[in-house]
Amino acid sequence: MSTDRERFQAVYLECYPRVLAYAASRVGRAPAEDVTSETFTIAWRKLGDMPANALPWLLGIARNLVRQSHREVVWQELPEVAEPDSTGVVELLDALNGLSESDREVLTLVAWHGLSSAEAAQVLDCSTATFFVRLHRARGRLKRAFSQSRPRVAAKEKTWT
Amino acid sequence: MDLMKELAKAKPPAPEVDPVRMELDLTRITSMPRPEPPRSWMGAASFRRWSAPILAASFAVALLIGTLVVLPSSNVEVAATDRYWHAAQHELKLVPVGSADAPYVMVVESDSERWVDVSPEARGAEIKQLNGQVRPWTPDDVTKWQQAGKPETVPMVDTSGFSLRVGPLKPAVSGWYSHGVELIGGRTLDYDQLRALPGEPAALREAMEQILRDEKSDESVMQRGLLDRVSRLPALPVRRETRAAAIALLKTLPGVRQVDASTLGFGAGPFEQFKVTEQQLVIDPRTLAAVELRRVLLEPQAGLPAGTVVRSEKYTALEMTNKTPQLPAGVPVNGPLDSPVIMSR
Repeated sequence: MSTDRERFQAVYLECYPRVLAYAASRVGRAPAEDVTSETFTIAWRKLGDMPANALPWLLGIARNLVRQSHREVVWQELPEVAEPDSTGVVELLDALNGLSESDREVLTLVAWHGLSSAEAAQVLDCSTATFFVRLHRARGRLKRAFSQSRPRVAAKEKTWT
Repeated sequence: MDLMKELAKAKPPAPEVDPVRMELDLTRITSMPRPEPPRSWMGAASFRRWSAPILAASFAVALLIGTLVVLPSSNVEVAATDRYWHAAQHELKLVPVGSADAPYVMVVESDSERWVDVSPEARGAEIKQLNGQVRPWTPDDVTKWQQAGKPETVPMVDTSGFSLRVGPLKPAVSGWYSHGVELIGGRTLDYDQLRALPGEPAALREAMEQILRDEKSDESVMQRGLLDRVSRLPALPVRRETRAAAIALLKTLPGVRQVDASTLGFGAGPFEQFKVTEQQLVIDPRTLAAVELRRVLLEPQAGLPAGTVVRSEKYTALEMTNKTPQLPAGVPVNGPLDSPVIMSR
């Protein structure tokens, strides 16, 4: 039992900040701690199922909790962005905000939460191949939305694929 | 300009961790007892312990699962004591490979099963890629593959750097604390919510549109989302009246056509490597349950004639049951999926 507890504690200490960041990006800062707490409570109860690379599994639990409780907030309610600047961050976030929830999730799992495609696919419970397709399409839609919101910047993107 | 890199720069600042809350939570969580999962159900550790003595007989387990998979769909209706929603399907997808000017075709096929505990315990599991394999499709494709030197990986036509690995696929099991059955690509409804869906087309449309609005879908995806979700209802544990309403509603939606007495066509457009396809839903007129959801070529492509089914989910079981769910031995729960698609870029 002590081995189980030590293993859990190690994962907890390592992954807590990233689960919290994921939850905050989905439900806002205030409820994120509750979602994170629930996530690790479930992880403790299902410790026997926890894979060696626990983060995608934990984010999958957190994702289910968010969807279960419909606690997701609209994008405008999310915490402030890094730093609005001249490189189009505001326009880019506006473009992101205009996408479907599904597209935002695919894009932010990679861009914000630093997951590999295989890990993000695990969070979304789909195959890596399916994730690649969804990512490709989401990137295309982001590009189009961004082009519409910022034609000048988009005009420089001739090499985008 | 790489938009993904720019997006990464626009990441909201990571929330500060409250060390006191974190420590209190850890103490509280690790002081909780960890319930032993019921045997032969979701807990991987107990499942492994349970299955270890019969690991040598895993073929028998596979045989049992195989038997479950080929059971015909017969019990879409519900008995009061039924605990599990069980859906099984045989999946098939055609993949043009080789060179664009001389393609041949591989088939990716496997069985999958989904079990959802509709009781308050609320667990779910999905078994994917059972009996999975990638192989040349027809004898002619076998010949072309052999002439190419029987490569273990083959380039996929009309993709930017994707290849397909030929051979068997490993099964995968995903498990979760379920809170219902997921409507495709969207919100999860619990069992009671599914059973409460209206049995009249206009009311069903309103209910499904409300679900889409709850998902914050914009108008551009409302129409497609409505089609996607309504077309999935005949394969979910909804009431017969709801299945009837779903079919009637589908017939009124733009872009839907009656292919034959039991088949509706919709969703015309490209699908993966194929340019002109149509989705088709085949219904069992006796039960009004889905028999197959498939993609069909509307024009010849890659040497395949119009009418070829290039993607198929053929349902072999859609039932409420009290049968104890069985998971394949030796497959870690929530382990990686053995995808046959390789990105070589």
